Amino acid sequence: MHTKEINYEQYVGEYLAIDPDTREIIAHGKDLLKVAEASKRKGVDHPIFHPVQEPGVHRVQVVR
Amino acid sequence: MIKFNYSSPFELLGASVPHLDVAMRGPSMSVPIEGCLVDSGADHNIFNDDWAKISGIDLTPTPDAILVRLPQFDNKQGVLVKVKYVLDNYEWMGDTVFIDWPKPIALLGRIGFFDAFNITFKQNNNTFSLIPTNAVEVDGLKR
Repeated sequence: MHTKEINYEQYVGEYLAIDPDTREIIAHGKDLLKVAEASKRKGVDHPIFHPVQEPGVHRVQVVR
Repeated sequence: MIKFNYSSPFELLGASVPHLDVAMRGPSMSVPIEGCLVDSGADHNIFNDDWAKISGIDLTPTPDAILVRLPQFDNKQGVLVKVKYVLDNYEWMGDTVFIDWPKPIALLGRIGFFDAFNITFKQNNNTFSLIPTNAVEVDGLKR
């Protein structure tokens, strides 16, 4: 389940490592391997990963 | 049957989409991946190759490796391998294309996901449901 508190839009194009217990973002960035390493360094070896994918090519965006 | 709500991580137009949280099981570790897009427009499951590296799935090119091209990703070449996935207490082997791509990709496509479940989308209710077909229920496997 997605946490309402995380504003995913600000992380578009990045990977999030989320603490499975607290649901806090442990690390984030555009390189998944570095995000995983940063999470380990902060003591969370097995985070939940959330790839914040860009809206799809079929998506409609309002321009005005 | 397992039922899910559409979710809307982005508030653009308030449009909700079907997302799922799965675990990709590799020799090194089982990697929980949140927010995979259930994408009937994707031929296969498609993920960045870094997911394979983290979970320990070997993508070393071998003579019998299946290489594919992905037109929607600048004709990038990917490697097609079978991957074990877990969703709630169901698991299945899904053909998956891994590609080197600079942006996050986690797509559950027709081959690799839709062939493991019968899927019903109810857009007007913002829900979708899965009936396992080639996925196997495994007791006590819940993450």
